Amino acid sequence: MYVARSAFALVAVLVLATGGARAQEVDPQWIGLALRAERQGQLPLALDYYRRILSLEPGDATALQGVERAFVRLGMRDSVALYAARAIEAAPRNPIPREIAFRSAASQGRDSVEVVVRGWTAAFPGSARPYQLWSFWLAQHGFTNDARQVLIEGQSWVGEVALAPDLARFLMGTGEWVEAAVQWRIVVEDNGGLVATGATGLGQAPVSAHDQIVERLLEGGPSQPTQWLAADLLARWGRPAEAWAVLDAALPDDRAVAVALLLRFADQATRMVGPGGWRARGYALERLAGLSSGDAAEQARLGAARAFTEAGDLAAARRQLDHLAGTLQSPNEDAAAAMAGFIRLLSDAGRVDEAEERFDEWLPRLGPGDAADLREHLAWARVMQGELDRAEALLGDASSVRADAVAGWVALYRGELGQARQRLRAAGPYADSRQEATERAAMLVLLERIEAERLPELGRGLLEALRGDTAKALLELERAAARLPPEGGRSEVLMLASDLAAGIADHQRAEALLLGALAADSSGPAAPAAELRLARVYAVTGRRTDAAQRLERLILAHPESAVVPQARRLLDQVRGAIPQS
Amino acid sequence: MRRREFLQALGATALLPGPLRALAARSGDSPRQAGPALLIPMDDRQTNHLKAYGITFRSLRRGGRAEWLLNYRGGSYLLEADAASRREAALQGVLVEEVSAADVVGIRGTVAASNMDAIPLEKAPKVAVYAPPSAAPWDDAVTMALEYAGIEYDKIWDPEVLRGHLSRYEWLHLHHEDFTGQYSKFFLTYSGSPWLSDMVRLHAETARALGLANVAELKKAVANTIRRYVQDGGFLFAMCTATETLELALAAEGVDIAARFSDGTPMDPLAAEKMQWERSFAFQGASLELSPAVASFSDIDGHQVNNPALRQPLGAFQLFDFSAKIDPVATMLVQCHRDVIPDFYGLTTSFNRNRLKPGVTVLADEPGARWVKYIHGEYGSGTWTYLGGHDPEDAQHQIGDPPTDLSLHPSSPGYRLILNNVLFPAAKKRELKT
Repeated sequence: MYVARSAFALVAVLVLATGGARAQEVDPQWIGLALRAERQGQLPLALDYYRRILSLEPGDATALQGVERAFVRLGMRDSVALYAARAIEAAPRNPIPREIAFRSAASQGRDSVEVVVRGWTAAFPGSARPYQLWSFWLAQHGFTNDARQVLIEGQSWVGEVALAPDLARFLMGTGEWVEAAVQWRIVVEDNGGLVATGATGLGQAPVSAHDQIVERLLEGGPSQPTQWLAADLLARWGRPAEAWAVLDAALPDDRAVAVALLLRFADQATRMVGPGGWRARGYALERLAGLSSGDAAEQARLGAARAFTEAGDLAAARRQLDHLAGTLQSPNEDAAAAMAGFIRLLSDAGRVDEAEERFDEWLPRLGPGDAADLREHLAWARVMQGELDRAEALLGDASSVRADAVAGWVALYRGELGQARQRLRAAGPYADSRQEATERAAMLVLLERIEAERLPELGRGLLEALRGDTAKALLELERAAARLPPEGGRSEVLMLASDLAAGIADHQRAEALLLGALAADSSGPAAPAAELRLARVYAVTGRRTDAAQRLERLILAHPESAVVPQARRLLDQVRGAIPQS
Repeated sequence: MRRREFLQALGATALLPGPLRALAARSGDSPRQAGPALLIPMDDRQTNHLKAYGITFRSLRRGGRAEWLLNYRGGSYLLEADAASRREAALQGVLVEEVSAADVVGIRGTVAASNMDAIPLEKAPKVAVYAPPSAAPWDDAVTMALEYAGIEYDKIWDPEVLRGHLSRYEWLHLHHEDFTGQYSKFFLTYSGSPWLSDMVRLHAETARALGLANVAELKKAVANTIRRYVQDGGFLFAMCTATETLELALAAEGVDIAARFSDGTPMDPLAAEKMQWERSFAFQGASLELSPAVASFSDIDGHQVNNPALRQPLGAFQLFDFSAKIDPVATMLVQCHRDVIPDFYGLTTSFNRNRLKPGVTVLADEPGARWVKYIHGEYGSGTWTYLGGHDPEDAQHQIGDPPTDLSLHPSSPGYRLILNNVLFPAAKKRELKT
């Protein structure tokens, strides 16, 4: 019985084997079952199905990829080689088995890989892929020169463009930036859409290579995309003027492309530091305005006006605003802000008349905050020109604390000390910046020491100091001091003058003024500060012993003075007890 | 007088009952103040702790007498009430209090009844700082403290040490010298820097001029001279990498512990086994760092600042509270208005406990950590004190950083520890005379 059953089984197997081989075809369900088994982690089962398919159709790429995945996960990558070889034989025009064969050979060493690559390139003479993979493998394994050579050789077979991105990346990796730029030029001339990719890569080049890269990109009649690449790089490297010049010359006729390029450049320019970046942004937006219409054009023009204002380019900013004045549909905040910036720029440039005209013209469209700011700004500009009447006229009857502050200073420059005291006090400690508030407080302290209601010499002295004429300021302040009683502000005014003298390194005069201040009032509240200033003058001029004596006298005679900590620190410095700061 | 006798003398006076001590003061056997005096409080009321040391030092220098009131208001000083001290205090912003004879009696009563003591200070010690001639004072926390406090010192270096000049000084300070002769292993990160080239040239020329084979041999010779100085009664205070490398140099008699870049031969791979730790002051059994590429010398340092694999973060260290009457020396060294002080790195930041010799007095440690910060011990007739780290007010000082401006840290607790060491020999000198 046993024998008979075994014999039957053998016969059955033979029948199935021979009959099956003849009749069996790939069951369409096998691939689905294989993928499901693979997903569920049943790799042997998946492998079984994949191999069944490949035994019937050795060139089936899907099954071959499945076999590769399963073997890799099982740590048996080498086993893929056999199936890949059969697949290549069965489907010599299919590139997938070639790639799988390459990956399988990659773990076996250089000779194995080279065999696969040679076969691949022979079968697919126009394919860049074997050169890419082969070069990458060589580079990864330290064969840098061979890797480069493979790409160069590949270019001679499949054309420069196909392997230029790979060669460019390779060259960037080896620090051959100029050569990489040549390859990127090939790339973008073929495909302008890769300009940003090239710029991102080449943007990392060291400064020493920048000039050569740009030179290579722009030599010999470059295409527009190559010029865009050069402009992008120059912008990234903080060379806005050159970047704009290159881009400006290479803007395409295609409006949509040009707009995209200009927007991108304007955005890049905001990241550049300094007026050059702002100016380049202004130019880009100005061009954009010319290519746009309606609101878009208006916004671009306003952006350009602001950019030129930030750049300090008065003429260009005016050009935008004049253009806008004629076309602006309705007052808007952006336009007002742009004009406010422009008015400030005009006044800072000394063109106060024009600034004031613009201010009057735009006043109805400015917000109250902007209007007040500009009024004070213009008033200070008039003060700087010595036109105190016009400054006062600008302030008019403004009653804000900031207007009080400006009015207080104007009164002071007129020598109207009583009025100045009143307005500066009214301005209080909060108007303007902390520094301005401190300056105001210091001036109030000085004014409180002076009993006189009018002292034109003091006003003139302070105004000349403000306007930068220190020599005149010193003369006026000395005259003012001479008119004051010794304990009624003379010391303080002389100290003020000494600060001016020290500021222009006229230490001799500063010393004389401070000695005069101390002679006028050696025990008043200003004396410790005068002693400290005198010690500083001595220290700066190398008279350390004199400085130390002054400081010791100050500390011992005025131990409660607020300047004693500064005096102690200076004493430590002149004695070398602490490092010079 | 040997150190043991010194301690006995201090203890005997301290343990006298209050009335007897007052009597002793009147009898003229003690320098204690009998009339109006100046009290320099060193607690939180003090406005400039660091300059207070200078006031006391210069008072001693002028021949005045002073007392160090250990644990009294942060370790205050009682000086003779002279015009010069008053003037200096006013100029330097140091708080002084005029105290009457009755006040002094009250203070003594407090001192007698508490964990306090009054240590007489008689003579300002002569201070030497070991540093190359080109070193600026701002490279070294001790010279910064001395300059700021106005305490006079001399700079000495290898030629002076080897010519026997150390005997002229009571107090010697070492800071970041590398006594293994390897230039602090700065070759690793500062190779090519002009200052390093200058340093190498200066050291090599000095070794040659003194007839020594190389810099490693030069530094060993200097280390051994310093050991003899301490043995003969000198006071040694070291910080930073000088602590660790001095010990290594002392223990490495006849052993090559310098890398090839220093002496032309590689370090002896069996160096650790050949070290003679009985020759060192504080440490024993250390493993040496054999790699010239690791900027560390041994496992003495707990923090290993330049060894990324072993580097430890900074915590805070705590000063120990000693019995002033029984252990006045240790008490003097930890006088401070703060018990807990933020830690600070140096090439050597701290000292692993398991490398300390038995008998080393730990003055401060980081609670729970395996390292200590501040240690002290005796050697022969002298003493040594080590404080790990480079600059108490610049916790992560790097070469090229701006120098610390102590006028911005006039009450620095870490710098107080340094200055305690400067005045500590003044106390001993007085006892040596009795």
